[in-house]
Amino acid sequence: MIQVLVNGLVNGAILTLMAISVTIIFGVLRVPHFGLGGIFVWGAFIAYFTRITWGLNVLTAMLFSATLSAILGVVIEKIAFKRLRGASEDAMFVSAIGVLIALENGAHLIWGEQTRSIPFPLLDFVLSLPGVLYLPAMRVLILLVVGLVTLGLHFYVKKTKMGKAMRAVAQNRISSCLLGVPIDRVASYTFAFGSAMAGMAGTLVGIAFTFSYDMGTMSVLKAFVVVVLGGLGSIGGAIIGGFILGIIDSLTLTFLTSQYKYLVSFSLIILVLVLRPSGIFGQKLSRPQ
Amino acid sequence: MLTNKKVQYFWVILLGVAVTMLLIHQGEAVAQSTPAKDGKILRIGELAGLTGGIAPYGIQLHNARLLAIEEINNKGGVVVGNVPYKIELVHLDAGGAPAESIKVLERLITIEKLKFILDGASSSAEYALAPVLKTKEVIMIWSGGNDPDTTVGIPNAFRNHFDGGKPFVKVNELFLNKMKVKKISTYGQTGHADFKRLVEEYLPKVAGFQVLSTDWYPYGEKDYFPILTKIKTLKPDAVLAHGFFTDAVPMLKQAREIGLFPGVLWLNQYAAAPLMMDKPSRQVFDGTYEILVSSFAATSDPPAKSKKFFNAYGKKFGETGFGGWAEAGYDSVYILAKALEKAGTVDGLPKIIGALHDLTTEEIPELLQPYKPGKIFDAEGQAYPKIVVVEWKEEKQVPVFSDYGR
Amino acid sequence: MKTGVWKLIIPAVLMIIFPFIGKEGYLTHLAITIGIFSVLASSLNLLMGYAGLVSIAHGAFFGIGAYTSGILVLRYGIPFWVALPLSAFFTALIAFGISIPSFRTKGIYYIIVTIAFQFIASEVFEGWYKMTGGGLGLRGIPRPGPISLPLIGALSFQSKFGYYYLVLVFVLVVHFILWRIIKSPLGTSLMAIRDNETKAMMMGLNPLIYKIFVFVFISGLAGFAGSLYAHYLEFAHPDLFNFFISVDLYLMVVLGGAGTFFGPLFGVFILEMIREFLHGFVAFRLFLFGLMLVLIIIFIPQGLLKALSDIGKRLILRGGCILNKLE
Repeated sequence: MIQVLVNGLVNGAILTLMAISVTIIFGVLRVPHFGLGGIFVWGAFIAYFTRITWGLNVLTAMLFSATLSAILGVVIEKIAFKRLRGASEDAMFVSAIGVLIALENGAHLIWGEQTRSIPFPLLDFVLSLPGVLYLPAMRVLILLVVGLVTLGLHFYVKKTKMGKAMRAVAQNRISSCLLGVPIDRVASYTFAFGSAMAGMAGTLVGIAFTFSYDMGTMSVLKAFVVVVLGGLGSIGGAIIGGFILGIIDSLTLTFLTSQYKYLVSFSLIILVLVLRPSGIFGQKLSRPQ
Repeated sequence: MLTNKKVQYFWVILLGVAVTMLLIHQGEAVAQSTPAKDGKILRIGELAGLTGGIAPYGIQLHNARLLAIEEINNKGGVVVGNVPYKIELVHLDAGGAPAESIKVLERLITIEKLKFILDGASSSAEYALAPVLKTKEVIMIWSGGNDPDTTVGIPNAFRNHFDGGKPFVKVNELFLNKMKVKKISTYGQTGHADFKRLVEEYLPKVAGFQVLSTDWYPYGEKDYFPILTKIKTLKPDAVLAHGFFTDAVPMLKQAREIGLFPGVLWLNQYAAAPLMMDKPSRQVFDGTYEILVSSFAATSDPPAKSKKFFNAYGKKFGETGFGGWAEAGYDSVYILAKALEKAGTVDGLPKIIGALHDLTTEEIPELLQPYKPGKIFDAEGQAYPKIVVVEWKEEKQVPVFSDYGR
Repeated sequence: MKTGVWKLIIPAVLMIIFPFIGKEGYLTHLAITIGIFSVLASSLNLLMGYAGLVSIAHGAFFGIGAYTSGILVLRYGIPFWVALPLSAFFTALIAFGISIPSFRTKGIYYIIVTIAFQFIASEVFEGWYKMTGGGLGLRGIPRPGPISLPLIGALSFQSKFGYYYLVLVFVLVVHFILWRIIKSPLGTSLMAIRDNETKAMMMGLNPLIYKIFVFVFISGLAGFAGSLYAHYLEFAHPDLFNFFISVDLYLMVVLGGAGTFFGPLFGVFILEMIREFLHGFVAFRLFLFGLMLVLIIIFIPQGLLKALSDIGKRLILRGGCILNKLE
């Protein structure tokens, strides 16, 4: 049972990282950024190829990949979302889906469809409590990194000037604009952080498991489901939702059915939304004007 | 606001992409092998599986066919009714997907106007196409995929790969009995017709085994821990795993991490072979068994003919990717060629079908797979090559058991 | 306005005599496919363009109709002509069930619900082996039996020739119904709700009823299309009705122009042509689609058809001016 719960925690950690990316971009800029699934994929590929071609150690590769993902994220913001800033959510949704599809298939075109794995020989061992728990070290890495990043983000948002600016824009964009908050810069920073985290999530998955060009769609979709559950715009909700969904998934797979795992988790989401249409901790969406 | 500039911008970008695609696009189907300068050409279609999960298997089959065609053409081609024909392979990729295979078959028949089609390795494509084939004016020879009873009731379909139904289950049964296995857990990939039907229709009918659990994973699954945890608690004697071997590697790795293996008899139905993967992956398989092949070519002890074939294959395509299914592809070309020669026609499909049924293993010395002596195909068009069980030992596959299953 | 009538007559005649040109070949196959997808695109357009709602579950309803029809005929021996409306009705019923929770949510939450439903449906198609054949698909779905028509004699649907006319009739009927709806007070109300829901409520409309009606109606149409498709291919499989198909349909509507009547039809045609042209280059085609989505929503949000006809009009005007100057 402990094994099952820990399995869930690890998967929940990845989900949480993606969910936080999704929720800050939506919370601050109202962009439903499905394209983060594409960044998730590219993060893994970038880390892999920098490791293989330049022989970087895993930590450096991960940081490099996160940085490049951040840059990619900002570029995408400028190309695909900046002009849509005043537009409806539906329009931004179209653009976001377009970005997701373009990034995933771009990765397919450039790097092929082979499933690969980022090698990390140092952590190739298993921590075990025989009969009770088997935890590969790489999965521990995931928990550690996610924990650190979440804490880091928390302090950034609470303490720094940009963090305050982000929160201001999230609460009320028009007033922030009038008060002189530089929206463009806030947008860039938000996308940078969100994309860096998504890229890092991809790298972690590539290290602990395998990665391929098509792993983005399900991952970002599950992140949205988590975020919707916890409430769009709420980081705390994303964290709690992520771990809860991870554990539910693990329990479902092990004890209920291996075939209908989405049926279970997604139906739960729909149920929650029926009862609380803005998610558990969500911001109420403004009434359609 | 739609301005002229915006629209122009859009078209410029799109046009740029379109021009790129025109440059890359190289025409409908790719015709392989040297076309004849004089003399006639016989076009054979292939419903190839060159992309997607099926690729490691489909590419072997494809390459092996090219090799066979090259050999035949170099010897003068297929002589049908005193006229020599050089063979040309026209392949379209369906990626092993059943819905796509139906559409690709449509193209092969209506656009390419092909009468003979060799398959693309996927059992689910076999399953989907079987009823569709009945009404079409083609002869189909499957060389991959093991959907049970695929050729039954379809007079124009033949298969020179083994049947994944009764014969395959029989060999599984014989082997598992030999290893004193009583309790089984299965863990297979969704969408594989052969394994799905094996688990649902055939396994329950086998006496002497208790199936403790049946589980499924989607292609590309990364985390097998939850199900492996479940299987571990059930304590089976053996685990039957099936799918594309690229998923077998992480699954086995995680089975080891979680302490499930070693500890059970792990029977892979992945058709994996040493040269299809890298060194770390080969090591992951050590101590497990593999059963989804009907050829000794990739084992540690191949017969002389297979060794020759392997060398020729390696020279032309490189050794990487070679596995136990290649020989089936090679054989399919020789089988078709011989049948055409015997029938004396390239158009009379009923005559050719009759010729295929009359073929014996002995009259085609080039055949590589270990078929049953006598007639190659049974009344339904199914062949019976020996199904081989190997054990992975130190990155090689050692044959431990084989049977026709009939 | 006699010239206006010719705009309709010429395409109509072409559509009727087409199978005599295409016969049993690939072109007829394409025409049938385009016909079926045009029903899907236009129905989705009613929801998206006129009622202002997104749905990424259209592929799922397409599939529910397909499987239901296939199962009814294959397993229960129900004749095709009964199964067809039954599966459309059943699909609409499920749409009704899902609309209750969906319409409580708004904006992106609502979109997520439709996506969630799409994945649930896909999972059921894949998992319910006994009913749907699971990942193997449902094979052996029969074509409808021949019918005898006055003056023409028997029309067999075993051939593409016959099936083309079956699809053509449905395409024309469906589009006629959609046209009438858009022109009717119902259509006007929908557009009012789309443009300003609060205002519409103040005018006395109940948005929820209208939304549910449209959603259920178009999903029923998708079910119709599904049945036609399943009996054409003689096969049904989860791959044909998944998330990516829903995105394809979404792209067709957006590309062609949501909210215009002929826009999505144009979108179907363009996308099918691109698919055929690039059929061996799936990754490239999909990459192109993704790029197109972004470019179109930014630069040509009203759709390609409108943009092209605007360019066309401008060219004609310019040409006219030049001609005038030359005189």
